[in-house]
Amino acid sequence: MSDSSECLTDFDQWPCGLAVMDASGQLEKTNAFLRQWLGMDAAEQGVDVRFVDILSRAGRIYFETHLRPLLLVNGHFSEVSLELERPDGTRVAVFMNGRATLSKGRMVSAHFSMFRNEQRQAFEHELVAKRRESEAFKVLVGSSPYAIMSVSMDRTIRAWNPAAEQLFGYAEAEVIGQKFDEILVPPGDRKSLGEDLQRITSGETVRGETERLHKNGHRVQVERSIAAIHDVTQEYSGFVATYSDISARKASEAHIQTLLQEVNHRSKNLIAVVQVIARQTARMYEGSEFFSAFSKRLASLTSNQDTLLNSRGNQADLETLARSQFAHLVTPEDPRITVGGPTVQMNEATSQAIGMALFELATNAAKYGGLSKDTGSVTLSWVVAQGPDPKLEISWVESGGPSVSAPERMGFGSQVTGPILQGITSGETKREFHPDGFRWFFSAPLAKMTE
Amino acid sequence: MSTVERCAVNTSGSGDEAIVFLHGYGCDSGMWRKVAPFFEKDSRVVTYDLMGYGKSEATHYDMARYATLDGHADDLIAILDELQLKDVVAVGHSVSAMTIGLAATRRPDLIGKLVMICPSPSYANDNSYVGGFEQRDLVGLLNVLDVNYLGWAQEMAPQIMGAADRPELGQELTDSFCQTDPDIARHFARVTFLSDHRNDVKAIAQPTLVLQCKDDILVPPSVWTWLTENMQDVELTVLDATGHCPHMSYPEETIKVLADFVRPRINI
Repeated sequence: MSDSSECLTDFDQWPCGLAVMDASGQLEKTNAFLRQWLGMDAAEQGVDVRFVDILSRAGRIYFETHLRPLLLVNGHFSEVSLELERPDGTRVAVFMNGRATLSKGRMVSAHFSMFRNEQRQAFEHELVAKRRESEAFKVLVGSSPYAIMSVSMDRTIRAWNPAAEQLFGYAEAEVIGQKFDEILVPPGDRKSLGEDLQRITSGETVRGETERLHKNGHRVQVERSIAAIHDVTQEYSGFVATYSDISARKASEAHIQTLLQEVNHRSKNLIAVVQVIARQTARMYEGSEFFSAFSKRLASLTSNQDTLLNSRGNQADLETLARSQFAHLVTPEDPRITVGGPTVQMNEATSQAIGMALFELATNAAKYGGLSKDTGSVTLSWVVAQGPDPKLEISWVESGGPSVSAPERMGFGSQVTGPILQGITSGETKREFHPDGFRWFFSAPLAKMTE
Repeated sequence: MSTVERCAVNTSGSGDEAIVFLHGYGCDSGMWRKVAPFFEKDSRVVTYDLMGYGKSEATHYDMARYATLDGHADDLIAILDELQLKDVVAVGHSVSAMTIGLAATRRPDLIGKLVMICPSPSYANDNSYVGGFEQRDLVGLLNVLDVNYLGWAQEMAPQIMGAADRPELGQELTDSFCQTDPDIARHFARVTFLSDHRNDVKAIAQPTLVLQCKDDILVPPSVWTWLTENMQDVELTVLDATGHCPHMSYPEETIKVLADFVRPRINI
């Protein structure tokens, strides 16, 4: 049994740093542990060393702006994390408690106890770094263009960023606490969600394209990424899901697919038409004449293509198409030619057929008909005859040219202004070899040509 | 809400003259409890908490507005206008010595005399100017703040103490003297210690008393010398004292010097 009157005095034996500061701020006494930490000689203590001198420079500011005022007002402070600084600049991290002896509001002395806390301080610095990191992370999530949400193990939505509001239509307040699958996953996909969650719990990040539900009920095509999150005990505690809207990309992919099919289809059509042109032209012409005639007919086809393309792919304007068929023969302002009628947009097949027919008529007129003389003329006009089944009626009337008569045999021109055109448009054609000049009439159901 | 309400302004005393006290970095108007009452017998005494500190409405702490001391100088001007005070003696401790200087230059009608307690126009060394600290020391302070506010922040205190069932522990910590929101403390520390007001103090025309402790770790003698050489109408009094807060540590001496400057004819 120790003597109950005995006081603890052997301060050098205590495993902590102890220091006393006098009224003037000088370091009055220290224990051995503190001196050892500071690499200080026992003789140095009290010799013109201020208490603040054993603190880091940042610590000195903190002491004078926070801790000394606390000592003066509250008489104490505790658990303050500071660094002591040795004369060589190296540091010792400590927790410090301080207590002041005050007399009439003056500090007569102050006692400090310190425990080294290197490991804990490293942890604290880590905490501070984490806090800054989490602030940076918050900004990242908040400003991300991707919809990001955090979901707990029971599939309850816990966090929901502004991009998620944008993509799925729900405000944050509406979905927090709601079930992830009930809000977002189309009913048919809920089973596979279970499989996805199985995969992520094993550490996998599940990525891919899928569909999720918008607040207004429609499906949104998304690319997603889902990964598990873990709680402090490293147990699976839920997942984080990231979505980006890929509906625009999907639409353009589909469009490209359609275009490819169309290009394929058109190419086959064109080749078939070219075959017909070649065969028919070969019946009439030989040698260099063949080449010239064939080229001109192909030029007509090309200008049809241009007309189609300029009207964005699948609709061609009849007037533009008609005028372009004269381009290889006369100047656009030629006063002998009159072209006019209501606006009619035609589909690709019709525009090709009509284009070819008009080309042949124009070529024929330039060679033998109304356009072969300066006094001649061609009037190309059309009307849409209304009724239960509206019809497009085109008339081609030449005058002032040489007298004409019906040809002896059916050439390419007759084919494309007759049977071929009739076949494609389900229409009718009529040719008249009038004394004033050649005339051609065409009539077909409008609906089939424009759809 | 008026600035008087936002900054928890406290007025007391009566008299023809008025004296306003601005606390420095780190604490609140409680710093003046041993000094301000002395002046109540023949002056109006105004104390208040800088925005973000003490009982001020910290929700009004706008990081952009208070990114420089001008925001705080605006508050001082607004408070004096709202209280309809003119030609006052403004007493500013530490960083607030610069704030009263900014306000005095902008509104000479409001402030007739200035008392700067332990002022420093710039803490960082800059060529021949010795502020006392290198930039890295000042940045180090921000780390000390961060580490020590981990346990003090209002939102964190109960959790850190591991006593969600005893929220009063957190309350006690956050309500006590010198505590404030850690983000504000950090922000104001940056404004306080990383600003350079050397040109601003040169512009002050009013009579200014610089009251300095002989041994102040934050303000070395080179700074007092610089102030006396560069300010227009300055008087320096050095107390044979230690620390950065003579109004707390040595209230009687501080009162005497203040009173002599405020009312030179009265003997105490």
